Amino acid sequence: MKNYWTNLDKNHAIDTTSINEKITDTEKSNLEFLEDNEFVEMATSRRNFLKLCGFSVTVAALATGCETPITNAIPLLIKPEEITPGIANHYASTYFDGNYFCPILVKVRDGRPIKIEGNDLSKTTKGGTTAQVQASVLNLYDSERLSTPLIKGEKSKWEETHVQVMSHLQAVTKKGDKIIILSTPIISPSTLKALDLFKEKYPTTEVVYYEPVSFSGILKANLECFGKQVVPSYYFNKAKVIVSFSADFLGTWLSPVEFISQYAEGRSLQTAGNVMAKHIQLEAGFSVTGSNADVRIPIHPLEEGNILIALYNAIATKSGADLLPENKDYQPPFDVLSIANELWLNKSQSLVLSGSNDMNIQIIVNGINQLLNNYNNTINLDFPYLTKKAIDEDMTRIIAEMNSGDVGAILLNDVNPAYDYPEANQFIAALKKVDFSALLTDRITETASHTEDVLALDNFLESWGDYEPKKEEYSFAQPCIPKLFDTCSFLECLLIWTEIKTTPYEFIKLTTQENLFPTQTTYTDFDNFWSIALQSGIFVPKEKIEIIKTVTKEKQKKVEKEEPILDINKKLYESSSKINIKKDKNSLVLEMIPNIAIGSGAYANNPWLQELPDPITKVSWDNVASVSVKYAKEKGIITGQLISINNTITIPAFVQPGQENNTITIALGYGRKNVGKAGNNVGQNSYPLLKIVNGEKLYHTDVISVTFLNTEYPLALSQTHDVMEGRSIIRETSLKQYLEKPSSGNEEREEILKESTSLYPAAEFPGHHWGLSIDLNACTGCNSCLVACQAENNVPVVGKEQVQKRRIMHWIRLDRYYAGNPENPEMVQMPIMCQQCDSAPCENVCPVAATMRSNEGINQMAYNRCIGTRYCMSNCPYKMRRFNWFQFAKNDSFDFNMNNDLGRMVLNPDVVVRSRGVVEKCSFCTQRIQESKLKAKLEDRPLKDGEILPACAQACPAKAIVFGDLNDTKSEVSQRFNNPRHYHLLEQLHTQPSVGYLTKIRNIDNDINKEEV
Amino acid sequence: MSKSTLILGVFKDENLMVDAIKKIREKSIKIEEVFMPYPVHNIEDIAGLHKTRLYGAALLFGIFAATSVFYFLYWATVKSYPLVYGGKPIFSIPSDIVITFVLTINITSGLSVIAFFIINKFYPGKDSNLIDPRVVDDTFVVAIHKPESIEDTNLINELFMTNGAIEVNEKFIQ
Amino acid sequence: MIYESPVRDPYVIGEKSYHQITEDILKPIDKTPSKAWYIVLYISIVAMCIGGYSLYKTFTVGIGTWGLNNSVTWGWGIINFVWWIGIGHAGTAFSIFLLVLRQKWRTSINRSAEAMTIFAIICAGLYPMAHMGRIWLCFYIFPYPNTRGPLWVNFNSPLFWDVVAIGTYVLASATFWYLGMMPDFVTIKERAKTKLSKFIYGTLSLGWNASSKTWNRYEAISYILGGLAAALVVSVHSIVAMDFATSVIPGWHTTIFPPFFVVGAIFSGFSMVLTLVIIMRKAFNLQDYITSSHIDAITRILVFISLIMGIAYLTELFISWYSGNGFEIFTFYRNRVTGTYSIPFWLMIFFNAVLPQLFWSKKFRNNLTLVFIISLCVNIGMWFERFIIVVTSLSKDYLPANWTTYTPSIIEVGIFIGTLGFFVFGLCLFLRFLPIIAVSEVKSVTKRTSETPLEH
Repeated sequence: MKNYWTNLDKNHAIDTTSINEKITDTEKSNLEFLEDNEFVEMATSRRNFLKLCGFSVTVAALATGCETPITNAIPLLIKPEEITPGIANHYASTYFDGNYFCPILVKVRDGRPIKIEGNDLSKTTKGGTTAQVQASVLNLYDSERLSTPLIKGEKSKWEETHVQVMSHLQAVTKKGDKIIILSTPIISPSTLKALDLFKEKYPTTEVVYYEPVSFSGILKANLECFGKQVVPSYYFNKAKVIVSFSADFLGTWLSPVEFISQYAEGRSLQTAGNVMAKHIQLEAGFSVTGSNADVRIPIHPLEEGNILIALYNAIATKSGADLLPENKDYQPPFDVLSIANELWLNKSQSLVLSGSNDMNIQIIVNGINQLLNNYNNTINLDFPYLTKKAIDEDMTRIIAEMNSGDVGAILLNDVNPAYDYPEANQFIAALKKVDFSALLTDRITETASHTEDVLALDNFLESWGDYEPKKEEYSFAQPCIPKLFDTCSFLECLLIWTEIKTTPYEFIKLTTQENLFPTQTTYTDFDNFWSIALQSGIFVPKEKIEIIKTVTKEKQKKVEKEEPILDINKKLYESSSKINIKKDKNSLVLEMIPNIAIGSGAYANNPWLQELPDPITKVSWDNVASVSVKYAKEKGIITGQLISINNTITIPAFVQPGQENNTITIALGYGRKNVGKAGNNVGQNSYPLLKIVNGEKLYHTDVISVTFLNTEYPLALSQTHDVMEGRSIIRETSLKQYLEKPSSGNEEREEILKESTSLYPAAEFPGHHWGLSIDLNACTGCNSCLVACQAENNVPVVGKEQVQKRRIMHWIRLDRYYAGNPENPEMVQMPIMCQQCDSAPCENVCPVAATMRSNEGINQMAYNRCIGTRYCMSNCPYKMRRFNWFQFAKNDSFDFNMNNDLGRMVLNPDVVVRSRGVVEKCSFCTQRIQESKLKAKLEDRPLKDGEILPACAQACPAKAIVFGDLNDTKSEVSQRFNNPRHYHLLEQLHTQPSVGYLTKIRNIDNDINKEEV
Repeated sequence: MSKSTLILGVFKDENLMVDAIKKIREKSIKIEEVFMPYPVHNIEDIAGLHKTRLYGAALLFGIFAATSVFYFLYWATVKSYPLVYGGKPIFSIPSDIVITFVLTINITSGLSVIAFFIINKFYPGKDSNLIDPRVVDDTFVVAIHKPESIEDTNLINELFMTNGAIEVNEKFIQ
Repeated sequence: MIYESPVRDPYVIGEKSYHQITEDILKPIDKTPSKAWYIVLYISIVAMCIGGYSLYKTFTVGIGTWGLNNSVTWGWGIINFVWWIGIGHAGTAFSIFLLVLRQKWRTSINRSAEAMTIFAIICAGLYPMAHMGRIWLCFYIFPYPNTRGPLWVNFNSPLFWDVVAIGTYVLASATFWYLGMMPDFVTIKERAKTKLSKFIYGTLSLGWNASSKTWNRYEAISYILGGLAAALVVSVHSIVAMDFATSVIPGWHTTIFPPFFVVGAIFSGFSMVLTLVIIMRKAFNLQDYITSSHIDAITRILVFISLIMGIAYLTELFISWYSGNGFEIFTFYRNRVTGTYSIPFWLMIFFNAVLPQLFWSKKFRNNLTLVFIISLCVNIGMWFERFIIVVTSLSKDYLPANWTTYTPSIIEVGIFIGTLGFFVFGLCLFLRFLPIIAVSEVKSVTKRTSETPLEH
């Protein structure tokens, strides 16, 4: 044992006038579909349902919005055939926030989307979600969304607004001035088509993409090397060695959901047999990815390039390719050769990637992958991601153009440069020079105050959509609720502005008919195809898979023939020479990275995300400046002490083990000034610190000045002790030991079992005995289970002050411990929920019998009976019971989603909202268990294994959490319980938990070197 | 005390009174009652007054309490509403013993006190009509039925006076 | 006449006639109280107001107003509960143990000790209530027939045992106290000047006539109650100890707890008696009744108990080491002996186990001010003991990720001040309106009992 230091309620109510309004503007489109006879029944009935049921919701929302007194209730007049009130329906849809993409299922209960789950039909995400996806449902019910379009800050009607916008656009085109559409990446084929039509109508239009967290480095590098301005798709599951340079691909980089499942697959010991991918992470700040790496090497952002060149040359010498000029006076801080060896040994089964936005670095990375023949094996350029489109230089260019006055109109689509563009002031100044500017957004943002028009955008759950996140991989979005406010989708606007007399729905349907329908052979009738496509939410042309196979072969040949390496080499020389003139690594550098919860900051008003503790720092409701332990010692900084960097930002310091010395890491996306109650002035905005070097956004910058203030800033930390104190809480072993003895690292269990005995007869579970197993080897600490649980179980948000007092309400906790040298420790994480003990200490001590064990082994909690003595909490060795210290719902002191009628619409009607003074905890999502049991009963069949999915298990992209019946010996969970890696937390206490863990395994022992020598 | 006249021997000292009582008993004169500012031990033996049976009563109360409480616990946990707490058996005798023990004390003491009040006919607002107000301060009073014959009466008075009584009174009691 | 005792100091100094005794003891009742009395009374009322406000906040806003958190879910609420219960043991320990042991010298102290008990238990009883998340549902804790099944309570829960035990304890000690005062009530009535007080004390006396039958039954009931309550003294605090002992938390899960707690309780009880008695005899100059030999007797007992306490502390430390249980060892050696809470721990050791050892020497025993100070220290020390037990174990238990610290909120402090206020307030009223010394009993011991030929 290694020593670790460490229900839609009566609110169906409105006044009749508002109904009529609502019908006119939201239901019109729907009614039109109904006229369409070819429209398939399924869709029709659903539309009906949505119309009738969602109708009341809409009105409820409206009523609350306008504070209309509740006058009369409107029930469901006609019962739609597939709808039973009180039974949830799931509709396939798609989540895309301009950055991450995820096919989803939306759980709709009585017309309200209340939960988002991953679409398991998707080959890419395999039903996983991220914390942000899970939380996104709350954005729908954000009371601070725009309810109408604004012209010069005045509320107006859409009709007028559209007229006004079009008149401007026409005027501009007449003048021959330029129209710029500055947009988040658009991956909707139909929207792109609409844009083309828009361009035809307004020829001077240019579409410019903008992303706060940019990938233009990779885009340009691939353009340079392969003539394709794309972000390739990666296959982590195919890689045996993964070397990542500060690419947080398990946390925030490109497409975490997808990568987590691939990564888990590649490292899983169940599926992949004994082959376990080795992961080497080189980074400055500690990332979730770094915490999962087998080997994590802290490096300085400035030396990344040099290391890559060294690595390239090391591999080149093996492959016989010509070397690149190296910086003579640079010595890598570690043995680059060994990494090179491992990569070379796993040629074409390895993966090297970098999170840098520097083109040159990315070119070297491409070079390395080229040498390793990873293209078309672990990397594919033919089916790239289409979610990343922004080229940094464009932004500087258009700002220049705007200043020069050539730009007559600018339309900002769901972007917020006034907040997240490093030189925001320049942009704002430029914006003033443009005659007409309109911002499409869902709320009043920092940018909104600088544009003439503010056009209220739909929430993605309110509108139709089609997506092509990766080439030839399509998915669809359908509205799950009629529009809550008087809003429009971007596509809708485009269609109206281009004066195309059609609805977005029909337009999308048409595009699909033209583009996708021909690519398949299964369905002869389009409507049939269309309804199926909508139902599954996913469409992948059959050909694609075959194509991949064939193409790969050809490609490989081509590669050898055409020798594209040559011209890559040229590029490599240039880049390397550029890199080598970089200055040394001893200067203090500030690094800006997005974090898991808040990301780029678009959803900063989502209280779930704000309260989500960062997996590494465990800080919620703030971003911090992570400094290295060494640096902190030298300067005498303590966690929470305010430091001012470059006189632009004053932010609490956080002493982060494993942080590269001479680096400071700050999360992006905080310090929003204008996003809403929850998100305003939370943390500090670090975008202004980004450096723009000849057009390229650099996510690290030199620290010119640091001043340490003597004021301490209270941080909301949900874990303050990082050391395991030698207790066998998280058990781990190395791959080698595991192969020798699968139970290695888990020896303690054997001893305990030997001595384990009881005064009482063993518990009997005649029917089911529910159990849950967590594979610590698969869990990456992505936090989606936490938010999923919060959404499913109506877990309240308590706010910064209470988190600080260690009163966070989450039913799942991610414990994080460090081990080894503080300069570069290993980090382990463990999700802990109520362990549902068979002999639970909490049950004995409750005086009023509010908690007892069910005959299915669940530790039940009767909220109505609880009087709040908190004895159960004291006596829980896992401390996984939560107490309602205050009235968290309908309480102005806790003004989050539970304090306004709109926000409360997200509450799950199947779960009680706990009152003040009551103890609560994980229930294994008992409402879901009951639901499935009833379903099985009605269908007169036994429950299938894996049929019941608690929210956490459902959300887990790594499928680390498995739930099932322990009485069923064939069930996956009971197999896991028989796995030699299986153990219980604190089992020596004989609490006999129903939650089990599988030991963590690290692929740390490299025999490769030995072979080489 | 039935309605009759009493001869009261008033003493100021415990020991004198005790001696007096002994002397009087030797003359086989029945002592009706003795009044004291504080309990003089074994006075009831000396004066030949009856002893209380409160102890026996308390014992019975105790046995009753113990059995009924224990049975209730068994009935409530096993018969009426069995629930599993922390994997322990439904009928958990150890904890029942604790409760039985304490509740027995509770009920027994309660019943005993009630019994005490009843046999003494104590109730709020009852007038204590003391035989002599001084008995609650510093005086001992020995009460004897006034016999019919004058001789006997005189004898008693004399016995009192000769044995240290400071005064002898007569009092008519309803 | 009074017999001078050659054997040992008399219980009552000076040749006092029974009447004199009555006069001396009951004087305060007809005297208008001193300025000091009023000042103390007013201070206590202010304190009660503070407590009242704090309770109001707790009940209306929630337990969140306290300093507790997800890990340390019990704080001052439980600490003070146990502390008050401990103090509440004084009266019973005195009057009942000593009654059963026929220790005559108790007579001049037991009355005030019992009064103390009553008020202390009321203070203690307040805490489990205030501590509840949903006090408006506190009746759930009683096993009454209901329409929920009927759903009974969890008879396995030490908290339920607490309810029963403390309920019984309040009942028993209150009755005992009242019965003890009945004879004196008549005495007061007889002396009373005003109609009102005649009426009140008359009613309270329930018609006591000093007949030997009554006395006989009276002594019987006293012994019955005494015997039963003696068992209570042991059981009540054992049960309170089981709140901790039956749990799985390191530092709580200890078999030594029940005896250890009982002894601790009597320890704090006696020292509190000492504190009050010293004040009382000064304030009402009862030096003749509460003699230095009384004080001396109590201090001797304190030395003895403090030794037991010391041994208990050492036993805990030894066993935790001897068990080889990592969690136990951590709790005791890295979170008590050393660590965040080492200061309260060592204060506890010093005040409870070391300081009282001064009483070995007669010189210190006779120095009232010193005795007074030490008695106060012991009270503080005993408070720290409860603090150490409750907080250290919870703040750092099994999973280091849960580890946190605890500082009480102003509200919690407020409630404690309130209870102190109530305690003092109660005593003030007691000293003013009730016989502070058992008159009849004192009379019975003014002469050396061994000399009375009737004593068997």
